[in-house]
Amino acid sequence: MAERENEWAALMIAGMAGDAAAYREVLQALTIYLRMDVRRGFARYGRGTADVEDVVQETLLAIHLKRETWRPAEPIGPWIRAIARNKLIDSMRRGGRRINVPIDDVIDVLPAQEQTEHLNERDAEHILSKLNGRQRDIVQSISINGASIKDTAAKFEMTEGAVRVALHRGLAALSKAYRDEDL
Amino acid sequence: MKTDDLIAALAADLPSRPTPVNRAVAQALMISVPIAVLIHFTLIHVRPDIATVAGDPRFIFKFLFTLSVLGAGMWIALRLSRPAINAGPARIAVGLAAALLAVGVVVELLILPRGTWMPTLVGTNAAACLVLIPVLSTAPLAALLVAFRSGAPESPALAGAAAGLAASAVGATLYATHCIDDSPLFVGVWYVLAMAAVTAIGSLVGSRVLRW
Repeated sequence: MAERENEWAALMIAGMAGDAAAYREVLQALTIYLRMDVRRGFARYGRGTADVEDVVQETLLAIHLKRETWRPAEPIGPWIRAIARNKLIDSMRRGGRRINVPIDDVIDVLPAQEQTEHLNERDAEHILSKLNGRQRDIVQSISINGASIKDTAAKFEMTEGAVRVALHRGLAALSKAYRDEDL
Repeated sequence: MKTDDLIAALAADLPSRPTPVNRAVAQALMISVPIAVLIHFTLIHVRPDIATVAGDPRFIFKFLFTLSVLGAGMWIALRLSRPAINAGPARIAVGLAAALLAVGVVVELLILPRGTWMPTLVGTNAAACLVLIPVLSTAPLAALLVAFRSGAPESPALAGAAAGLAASAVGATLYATHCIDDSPLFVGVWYVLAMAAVTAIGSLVGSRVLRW
């Protein structure tokens, strides 16, 4: 446990100093941990696993956007868990509102349970659709299409600086869209 | 969007260094305290007899109280603004600031004859105190709430209240240079009411704007 967290901390420090490969590695390691953690949280509240990946992504976004609230001198595990807990609770609140729909309104939809797999995909697109046009294009180009900043800049005839700004704003907007979401 | 795709975007965004909350808060104070001082001199003035009362224990005590609230409030606000940080010692500091005032009130009650308690408490201008402390706290409160958006408070309402407490102490410190009521009895009622109002506003606004 402590060893794993030391490794996260070392990668995170390298990442925050600009090492993108180390940063990617720590986010991937955290993803595996967060998936288990969120799944456990969902199970405790008797919720299915349909939205687990959403909460994982929301948590990763928060870890990224709030990375300066962690300091290398402090243990990283409690910091990660506090962020994950916050996002889990947010998701539970949204889930709570969703459960309050009168049963008559959803009775027709109930047989369609096998479609939940597709729901996840649709939600992710739905989240991207909350970004304004240019931000959405740029976030999509760099995430889903895996293009570099440079290629994205060439494709949209923008400067790399402008792409970086739009990407950052897009990610912040994505985090906000999750937070404000009433699915 | 797959999680791996998101991670690619996050790694690409690595050069965007978010402002650390401590620096954002320092900038907020550097901008908003001069504004509050400017508002202070536009609306009111420093009491004319300030040179003569400067050594008066009651006058000094007002600042001891407001500045200790400022220190404790800033400390707890900074602690509450980051996840998984123990705010225990900062909570004790806020408690000590309150205890300092309580001691001042008790000493004042022991010194003053019973008959003068009420007139001292009512003072000369309680209404001005209730209005001007919040007015003088507005700029610091707004600036601090913006600054704390760089943080990630586990409880936005609590972090907002702490920012409100610190901002109210800036307002109270400035007002204390104008106000001629120096008794801890006056401070313990009217200053505290005004500062509590600013703290409540901070909590209310914070619960909305400090979510992340």
